[in-house]
Amino acid sequence: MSSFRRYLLVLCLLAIATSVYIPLKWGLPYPKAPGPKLGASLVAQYKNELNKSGADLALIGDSVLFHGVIPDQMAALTGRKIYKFGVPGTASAAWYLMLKNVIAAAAHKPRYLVVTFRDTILTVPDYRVNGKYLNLVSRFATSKEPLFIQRSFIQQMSPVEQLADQYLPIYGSRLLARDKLNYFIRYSLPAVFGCNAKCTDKANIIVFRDNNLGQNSLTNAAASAEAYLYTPDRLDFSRQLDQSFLPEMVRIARENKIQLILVRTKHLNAASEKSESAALKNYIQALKTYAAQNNVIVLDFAYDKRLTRKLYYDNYHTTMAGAVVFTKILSEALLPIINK
Amino acid sequence: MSFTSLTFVGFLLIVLALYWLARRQAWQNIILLAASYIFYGWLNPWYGVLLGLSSAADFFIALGIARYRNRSRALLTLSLLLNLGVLAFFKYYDFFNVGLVAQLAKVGVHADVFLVSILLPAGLSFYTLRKLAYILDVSRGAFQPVENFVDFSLYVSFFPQIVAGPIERIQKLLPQIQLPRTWKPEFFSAAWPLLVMGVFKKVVVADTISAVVDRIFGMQSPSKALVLAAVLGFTLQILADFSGYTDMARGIALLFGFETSENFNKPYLALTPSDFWNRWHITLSNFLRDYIFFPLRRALLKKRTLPAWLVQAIPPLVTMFVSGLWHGAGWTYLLWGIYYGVLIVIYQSSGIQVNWQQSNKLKVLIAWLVMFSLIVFGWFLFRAPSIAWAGQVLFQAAWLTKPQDAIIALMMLAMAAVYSFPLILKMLLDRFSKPGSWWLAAYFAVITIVTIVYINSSNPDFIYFQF
Repeated sequence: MSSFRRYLLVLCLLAIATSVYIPLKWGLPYPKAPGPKLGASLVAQYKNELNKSGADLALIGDSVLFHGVIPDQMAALTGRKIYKFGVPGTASAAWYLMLKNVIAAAAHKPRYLVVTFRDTILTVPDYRVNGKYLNLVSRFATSKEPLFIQRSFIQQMSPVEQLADQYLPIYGSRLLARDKLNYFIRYSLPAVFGCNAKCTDKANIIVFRDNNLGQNSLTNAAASAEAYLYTPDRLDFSRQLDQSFLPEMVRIARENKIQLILVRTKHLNAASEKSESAALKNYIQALKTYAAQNNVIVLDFAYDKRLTRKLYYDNYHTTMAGAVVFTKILSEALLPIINK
Repeated sequence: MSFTSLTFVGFLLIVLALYWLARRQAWQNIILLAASYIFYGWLNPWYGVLLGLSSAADFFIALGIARYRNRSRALLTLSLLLNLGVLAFFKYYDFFNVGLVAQLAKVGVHADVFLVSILLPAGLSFYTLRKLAYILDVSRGAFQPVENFVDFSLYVSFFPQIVAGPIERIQKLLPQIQLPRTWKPEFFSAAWPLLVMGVFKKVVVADTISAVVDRIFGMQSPSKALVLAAVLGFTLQILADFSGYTDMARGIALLFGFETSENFNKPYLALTPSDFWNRWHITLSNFLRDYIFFPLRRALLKKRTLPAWLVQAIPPLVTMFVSGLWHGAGWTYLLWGIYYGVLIVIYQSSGIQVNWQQSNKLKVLIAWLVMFSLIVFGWFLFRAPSIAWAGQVLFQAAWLTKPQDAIIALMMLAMAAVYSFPLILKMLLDRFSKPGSWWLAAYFAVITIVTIVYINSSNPDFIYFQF
C-alpha cells in the first residue's frame, strides 16, 4: 500500500498546484460557477440581419434545414418574406437561444416560426452542446444564460461531477486545458515546416471535406452520434419534457405572438412508418398531443413518400433536387396556416 | 455499460461492497454471477438470455461427455455445432446478408438491411472460446466437468472478462472460483496501477487518436502519405485500446480477489511473427495454439505421405486463417489472418524461429524494424474498410494528392508520437525503476491528471464531419 500512498500524495500535490495555477493563469474565479464558460456571442449581428430581412416567416434548424429549404423558392410559393436560420451542428439548446435572443428580441418579429426537427431532438437539451459545439451555441447566447447552463449542463451532471466542476479547476477547465494541449500536439510539427495553426486548420477542412469522405463513413458517423437520441430515457416524452427547452420555446413564442410550427423532417434510417419503434411512435404521439394543447402546429413529413431515397445524398440531407421538392411540400403545407 | 462510465463506477462499488460483506464463498459467487448478468444484460437483456442458455447447454453437455464416454464424440459435435452455430449466426449473418441485399438490389429487389440486420451480442466471440476450450478439455479427459452450475456459469460470464477477454482457461479461473476468498490489501495494491493505466490508455490515447484515424480511413481515395500516418496512429490506437481494456479487466478482477492472465507483453518489440503472436492477445494465441495449431500439426505428422514443407506450412496458415475469421466478419480480416500465416511460414522456412536471438545489435535492430513494418502493414489490412480500398491505396493512390495531405500526415504523426510517449516512458520505468518507487508514483499521478483533462461529459462530444 506504500506505493498507493505515494501516488495519492503526489496526486494531491498536483491537484493543489493546478488548483492554484489554473485560476491565476486563466483568470478564473475559485470556486467557479458550475457549467462551462460561454464563447463569443453574435446575437447583435443576427438581430440586425433579421430586422433587415423584414421576414414574416422564420425557420430555424440544423444542417437538414440548411440543405433542405430554399428561401427564395419558399418566398415565391408563399408570398411571404423568409428568414432561414439553418445552422449545421445545432440542436434544441441553440434553437432555444435563437428564439429567445434573436427572434423574440429583434425589433421586427416574424409572425410564424418554423422549427425543423427529427424525432426526439427537441427534448434532448444536452445534445450538441459539448466540445466544439459549445462555441457554436455560444453565438446565440448572451453573457448570462442560467436556463441553458442548468438544462444542458448542470442537470446532466452527478453531484460528484458538480463538485469537481466547481472546486477542482483541472476538471472544471478541462475543455480549455485539452484545447491547449491539442493545440500544442496538432500544430507543433506542421509549424516546424512553416504551416501555422491557421494553415493547419485550413488543411484539415480541405482534406476532410465531405466529398472526400466515403458515404458509409459519413452515414456511420452520423448514426453513431444520433444514437444518443434514441435511448429509452430520451424516448420518454413525459420524462424529458420538463428537462428540455421545449416548454420555454412554447412560452416565448406565445408571449411574443409568434405562431410556432414544428416540422418533423424525414431521415432514411427507418425505412417506413411500419418499422418505427413503438417507443418512438408513443413519443411522437405525446409530442403532438402536447403541441395541440399549447396551440403549436406540428407538420410531420417523417414518412412522406414524395421524399424518395434518390432525393437524399446521405440519410439526413437532401440533394439540390431534394431541397426543391421539400421546399415545395413544406410551402404547400404552410400556406393554409399563414393564409388563415 | 462501459468500464470508463460513471454508471459502471457506481455499479462496481455496489457489487464490491456486497461481495466483500458476504463472507461465504458460495454467496460471493452468487453475487458475482448476478452482477455479471446485470452487467451483460444492461445493453440488451436478450444477451443475458442467450448467455444463460448457451452456458446451461455446455454445462450439461460436459456432464454428459464425462458420464457417457461412448457418446462423447456425438456430444462434442453437438456442443461444437451449438457454439460455432451461434457464433456464425450472429457474427457472420450480417456479413453474408449485406452481400445478399446488395445482390437483390442489383435485380431491383430492395430488401431492408436495417430490418433484417442482427445485432452481435458483445463478447460472444470471447465467451464462446472459453466454453469451447472447456468442452474440448473435458472431451479429451484433460479436465473433469464442473458439477456446480453457479461455478461454471460464473466462469463463463465473469463480468470483468466477458466483453473483451482475456480468454481465461478454466484451469486458471475455476480453482479461484472454488476457493474461499477474504479481502487482502494486496488486491488493491495490485489493482490500482492497472486501473489507472487502463483508463489512461483508453480515454486519453485510444479515443483521441481514433478521431483522426477514423476520418482518414473513412476517406474515399486518400493519398499514401495520409494512410501511412493513419496506420501508424492506428497501430498505437489498437494497442492502447485493447491493452487498456485488458488492464482495466485485470484490475477489476483483482479487486474481487481473482488473478487473471496477461494479454499483452510489449508486442511491438517482437522480432518475428511468431514472437508477435506470443506477445499480442496472448490468451487468444494460446487458445489457437492448443486447440488448432498443435492438434493439426500432430495429425499432419501422423500422415507420413505429406511432404515435410507442407506439414510445416499448413498449421500456421490454417491457424492464422481461423484467427482472421474470429476477429471479424469481413474479407480484410481474413486477408490479415492469411497474411500472418504466410509471414510465419516465410520466417520459419528461412530459419528464423520464434525465439530467434542475435548478439549483433545492428541485426536485432534491423530485424525489429522489419517486423515492426510488417506489423504496421498488417494493421493497414486489418483497418482498411474493404479489400478494394486497400488495393486502391496500394496500387493507384499517389503519395500526395494535394499539399494539405502532407500537413495532415504531419499532424497525425505528431499525435502518434506524443501519445505513444507515455507508454514508452512506462515501459522504461518498469524496466529501470523499482516497483513502488517515487518515479512510478509521480508517473501515475501525472497520467491521472491528464486523464481528468480528457474525461468527456456523459453525452457524445461527437463533431459531425460537416460541422
